[in-house]
Amino acid sequence: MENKKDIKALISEYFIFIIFVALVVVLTIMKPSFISGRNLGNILKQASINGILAFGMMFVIISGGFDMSVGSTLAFAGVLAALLGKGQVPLIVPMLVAMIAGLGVGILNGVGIAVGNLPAFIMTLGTQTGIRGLALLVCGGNPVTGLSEQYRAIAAGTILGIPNLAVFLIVVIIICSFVATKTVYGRRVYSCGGNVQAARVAGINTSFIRVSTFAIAGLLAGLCGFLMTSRVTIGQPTAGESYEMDAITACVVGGVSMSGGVGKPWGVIIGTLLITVIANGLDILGVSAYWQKIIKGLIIVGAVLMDVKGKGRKN
Amino acid sequence: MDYILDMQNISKTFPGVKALDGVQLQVKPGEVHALMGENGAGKSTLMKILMGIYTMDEGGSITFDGKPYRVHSPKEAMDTGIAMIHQELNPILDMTVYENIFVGREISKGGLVDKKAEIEEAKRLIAECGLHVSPTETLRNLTVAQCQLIEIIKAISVNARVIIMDEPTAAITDREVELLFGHIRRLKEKGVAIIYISHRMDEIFTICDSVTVYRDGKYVGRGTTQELDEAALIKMMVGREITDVFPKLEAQIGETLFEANHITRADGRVKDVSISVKRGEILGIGGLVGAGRSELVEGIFGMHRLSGGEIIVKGRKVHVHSPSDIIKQGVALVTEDRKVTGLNLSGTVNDNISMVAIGKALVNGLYSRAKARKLSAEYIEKLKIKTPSGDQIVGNLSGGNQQKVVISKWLLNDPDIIIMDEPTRGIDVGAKRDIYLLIGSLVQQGKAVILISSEIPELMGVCDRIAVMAEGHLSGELGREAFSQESIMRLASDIAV
Repeated sequence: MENKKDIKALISEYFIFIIFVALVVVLTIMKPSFISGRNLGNILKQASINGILAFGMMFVIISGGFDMSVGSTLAFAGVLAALLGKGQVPLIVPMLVAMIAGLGVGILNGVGIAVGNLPAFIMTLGTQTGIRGLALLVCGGNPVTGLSEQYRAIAAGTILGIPNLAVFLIVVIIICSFVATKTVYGRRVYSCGGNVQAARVAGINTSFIRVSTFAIAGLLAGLCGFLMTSRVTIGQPTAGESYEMDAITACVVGGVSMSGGVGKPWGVIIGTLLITVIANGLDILGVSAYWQKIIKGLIIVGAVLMDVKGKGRKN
Repeated sequence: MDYILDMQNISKTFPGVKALDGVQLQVKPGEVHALMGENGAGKSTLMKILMGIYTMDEGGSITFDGKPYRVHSPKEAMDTGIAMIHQELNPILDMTVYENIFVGREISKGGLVDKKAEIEEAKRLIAECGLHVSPTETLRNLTVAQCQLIEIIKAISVNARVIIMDEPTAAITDREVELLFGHIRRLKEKGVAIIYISHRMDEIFTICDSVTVYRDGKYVGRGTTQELDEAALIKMMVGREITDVFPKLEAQIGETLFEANHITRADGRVKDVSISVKRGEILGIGGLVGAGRSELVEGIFGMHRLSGGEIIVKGRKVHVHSPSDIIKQGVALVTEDRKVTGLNLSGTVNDNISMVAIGKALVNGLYSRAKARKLSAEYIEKLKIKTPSGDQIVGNLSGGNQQKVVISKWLLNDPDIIIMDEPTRGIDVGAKRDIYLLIGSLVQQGKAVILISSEIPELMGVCDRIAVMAEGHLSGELGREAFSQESIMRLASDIAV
């Protein structure tokens, strides 16, 4: 009986993972080309920007917050990167500028929320709108074109057959997972989200922790802006609309609790891949975009519902 | 006399645990029936079955008012005539008194809420209860005791014939307890039966007529409060005799470790209070609820701004701006409300124990799960924390064990001065005794303890000295030789002019 209970607990713990594997198997049977190296590379490429955003979002949600502004931040940083990426400036410059811009927005969010005591939803809704305006302002509303050859090559190129974008994602995953699970800082993010008052009494600087999680989300959104500009080869001030929703979806599907304090990096990886695989799989099956949205919605709610039910039984 | 409620052979099995094993409970109309047992004895499980939150296993029977009783939700239970007042009150704070009374069963006319009728009815019920609040007042502006009375009014208004009260006095002052008892007596006269759950012995003998005791999910016995005494009840609950309810270990008292002088809080809730404690000494802080005891220690601990006073730890003056400033000096605060300020309830036992002294769980500067597990295993054993493993989510433990987790979290940081705010509230006799023994062993190791408690016998049993507060100021201090219920009560009700 002990053994049976363990298996049950294991299944409920890794439920999303099981769904993911099942989905991959089904898609492979229906369309063997799904599993081809080329398509897998494609999936990684498509997953990269949402994945990086989702990892920033993971820190925010685990610490008990919520960030609606990452899509706008991405666009703002992307436009700045495009303006700097036209000439012969070394690419590190637009990349750093984009990340610093994102960091700035993140810190602004964090200070408003942790120090100004604004609800996270309101504060980031404000920056979502405001920063989008700023993105439009710096480029006069027109997409920034004429990127240098080398900048465009970033998103198009590969290293050892792996798309560059995926390499960025993998590096971000490794660093974020390490920070979340291995460092004192990571532990404190979980403590804050679990019970911010108890964390404060325990001597943790909770304001700093909360500001820093928004800063991480902003920084990564800035990086995504830099990558996005390379991928679409223009600096689009309207880029990344509703990307925050995809990032939140990846987190929630991956088991990050919206009430804070709970969530594992591997879950966010699976959440990101699940969303991408759904889109990619339906694409190669030739399902229409309208149906894709409907099916995506059903799978998101269904997956989380079954996950919640599974956990409920355990208690 | 016939029973209004007769529960026979009730069992409840959760995956892996048998929470209730063939227990019984019989309640007569018009009696206050105490349901007692240590945490984890199965009291709340039984009440949840009664309220239709859990379904019992096959084989049990419940008879209510002579008819078989089977409900599937709290609403059905209330409609049948059983209401419950929860330990953690769950009123809707931003709604008004009358809205709270009628929530879920609004008086309506043609599908619209009949606000006028609701207010009228609420006014009548409130007056009947002898309460002085307006039906249109928002609950946020009421005291905990008033909110509790609103819950009782709600129970009366559904014509409940059995009312379950789970730890109703946990958060209210002595004066309010008297008021509550008055209401309970009035309900008795009307023939309403009350199932009363409490850990406070004195209350059981004051207000209850009979007692049923459970232990580890099994029925132990029953009796009337006339034929039972405290020692007999404890023996039934714990399963062994506890001769010494407040064990006091001998300790060597040394130099002064901690002083807080002329502490005044910026919000005025603490005025010019000075306390000090020596190595090996237990200082008690007594007083009524609301006297400013928790406010004092929270101020000292940097959780609220002070407008005056100085804090001296081990002879050195400390500037406290946030809790981390004073934690570094070796001071710990086990806060009053473990759920609000003590625990990360969604974290594991290991996560919580390593929260303060996280530095000890590091290997090469990184958090090591293995090391955290090892450290917490040590405290799980030392404090006898009942948990399947250190990876258990703290929210799933019983109150007494949660409290031990909070204490472990601080002890891991090796503090020299430990402040405990109501460490035994809402936990059972066995766990209480463990905590007294722990406090004793801490002072034996040369640490100093400040103990805040509302239970005077507890303070008198454990402390070397008691400082008493009233209305935010220090009203007096007593040495062990001068301890008496009366002298402490007199100081506690000392109102500054």
